[in-house]
Amino acid sequence: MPSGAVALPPVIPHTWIEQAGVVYGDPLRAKTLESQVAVAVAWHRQRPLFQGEATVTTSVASATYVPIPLAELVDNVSGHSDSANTSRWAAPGTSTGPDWYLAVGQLPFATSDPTKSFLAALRVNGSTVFEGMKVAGATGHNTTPLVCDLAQLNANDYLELCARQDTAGAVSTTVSSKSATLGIRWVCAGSGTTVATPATPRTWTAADAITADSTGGAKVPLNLHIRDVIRWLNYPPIARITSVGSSQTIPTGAGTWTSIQFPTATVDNYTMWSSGTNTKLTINRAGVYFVYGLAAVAEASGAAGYRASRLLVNGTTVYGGMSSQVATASTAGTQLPAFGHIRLAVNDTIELQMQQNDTGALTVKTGTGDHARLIAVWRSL
Amino acid sequence: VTALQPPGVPLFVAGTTGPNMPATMNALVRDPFTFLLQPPLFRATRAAALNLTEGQHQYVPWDTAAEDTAGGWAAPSVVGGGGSSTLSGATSVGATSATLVSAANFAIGDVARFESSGANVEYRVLTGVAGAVISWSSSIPLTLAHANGSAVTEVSSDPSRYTVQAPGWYDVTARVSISGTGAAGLVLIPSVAVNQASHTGFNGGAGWEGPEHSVPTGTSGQLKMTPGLWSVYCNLGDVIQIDLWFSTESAITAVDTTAGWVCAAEIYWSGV
Repeated sequence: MPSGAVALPPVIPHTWIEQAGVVYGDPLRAKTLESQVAVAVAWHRQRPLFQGEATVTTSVASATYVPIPLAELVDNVSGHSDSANTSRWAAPGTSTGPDWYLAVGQLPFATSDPTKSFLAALRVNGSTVFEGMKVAGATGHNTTPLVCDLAQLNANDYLELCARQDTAGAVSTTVSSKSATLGIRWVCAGSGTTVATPATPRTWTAADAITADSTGGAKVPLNLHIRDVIRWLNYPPIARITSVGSSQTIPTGAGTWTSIQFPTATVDNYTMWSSGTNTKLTINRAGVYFVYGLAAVAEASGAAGYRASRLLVNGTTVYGGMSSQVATASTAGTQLPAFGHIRLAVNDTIELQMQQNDTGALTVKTGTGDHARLIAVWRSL
Repeated sequence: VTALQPPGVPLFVAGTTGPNMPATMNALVRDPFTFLLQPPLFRATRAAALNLTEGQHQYVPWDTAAEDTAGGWAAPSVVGGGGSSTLSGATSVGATSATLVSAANFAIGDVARFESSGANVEYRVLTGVAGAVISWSSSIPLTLAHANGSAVTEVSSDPSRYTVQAPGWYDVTARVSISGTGAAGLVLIPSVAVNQASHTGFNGGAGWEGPEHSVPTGTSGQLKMTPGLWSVYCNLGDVIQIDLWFSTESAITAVDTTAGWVCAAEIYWSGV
């Protein structure tokens, strides 16, 4: 901090005490503002961030999650080494850990095999896998799947970008016109207090009468205008719901969209999800959200046709996702994302839908790493 | 630049006197919180028809901005008293210069609009004006052919460009689409470009490439879309664009204009 004070962010917000009778109210001190506002701003203007890219190709063995060594482009918490275990980025210690991180990777394979599946995945501590896009190769072209997920990490937990394919031989990644990349950004504390959506911060005036909570007239409650803003920034609405536990199938039919069921919530700090209406998230704090869905279905060898994904807001407004030919001789499944930044009002709903035109229904995947999922992260008023 | 800038770490000094408190609190509390709660955000789509050429990189010109909180994008308008002429001879795909009937009032740095309306309109920032010949960067050739006599007009902005109003890292989400009957092996790739280059140094031709995969081979009823997601660092004034490229196996020549499946981009400030 500017004064030299040491902070372990994100700051746990201070609750000001109201002056009443013989109880002294908390004074508005520079030192308190530094420990609250300055620490909060310092953290949220520059949250933990890593971005790395591959500078050498990696040979990816079949049916194996292979971590990709990365050279760092930015690493503001020194979670990565360019000389040892270079595929790993380790999370920092925080006051609220294990915190939530949004990770995005993409992985170009030097392959043009349209019969097999190629996958980008994230892996925590060398064991817990979160699969991303899983698609067929394209004749005459390389193939680049993308992975995105919300991962909860304790201090020193490490995250890796992994490649996987099922050609029965080795396939290399590329580092020519495109290269594997991984980006990780802190997005939410592991614990916190939920609050109302903050208003646009007030303009302070000479007539302000500072209080803790009381309002009316010229009174300005610090717990609303400072504490709750910090609570919000530390612990914004996030949700991650999954198909784990589902037995759903996606019927065949060109033009037929089916909402995916999500019986399990990994995180849902503002109660956007209900097990009774498990195909959707219902917004209860307005704002712009980053929304990411991954439609995941099992495939039999000999699969045919295309698969497509989309997001649907309030049952009517479409946000197109992705459409792809299926791998014709793979049993690894198909996984297609749909995502974007979407402005959502209170009570708006958001669903992930899938369409496919194979000869029969396809079963939604429910594995620990290869399930369908729907993620929402609040980003702006 | 009028947009609020990313906050520094506030420095609170004990002894601030009463009359100075409002200004101090506004500078050290209101402005940082305002920026962090509502950082620069741009969300736009290409709603109208847009013609394409296979195997060519094309930065998507946005025509509808759902929101642009920092004012980094502007719809193009004709510059009064600016260059206004017609092509003297047709241009072809890949052209990096054009001969006009007259290049009067065109200057280096101007934005030239080729054709006046419709799906064939293209925009280029001029890097040269010599006699009746105007030219632009060889890294951004024309991707469509323009007939002899087509209008060439100076306009206020290139609508494919979002100009960064506050430095920092930006999370960019984009979706590109094409419409028509596909073909085996057809791939559709979005890229993000910062100043027409790749943030990572690995350049797919017009920026940092996103996902690459085989889109459906069927008719236009089989929607063809690829999304991309990147984080890029930008300085004040840097330009962010989304490139659309698709391979040559099909006969597709246009983006999709189906509601929800149009080309789209969102640009969100995520930190310094």
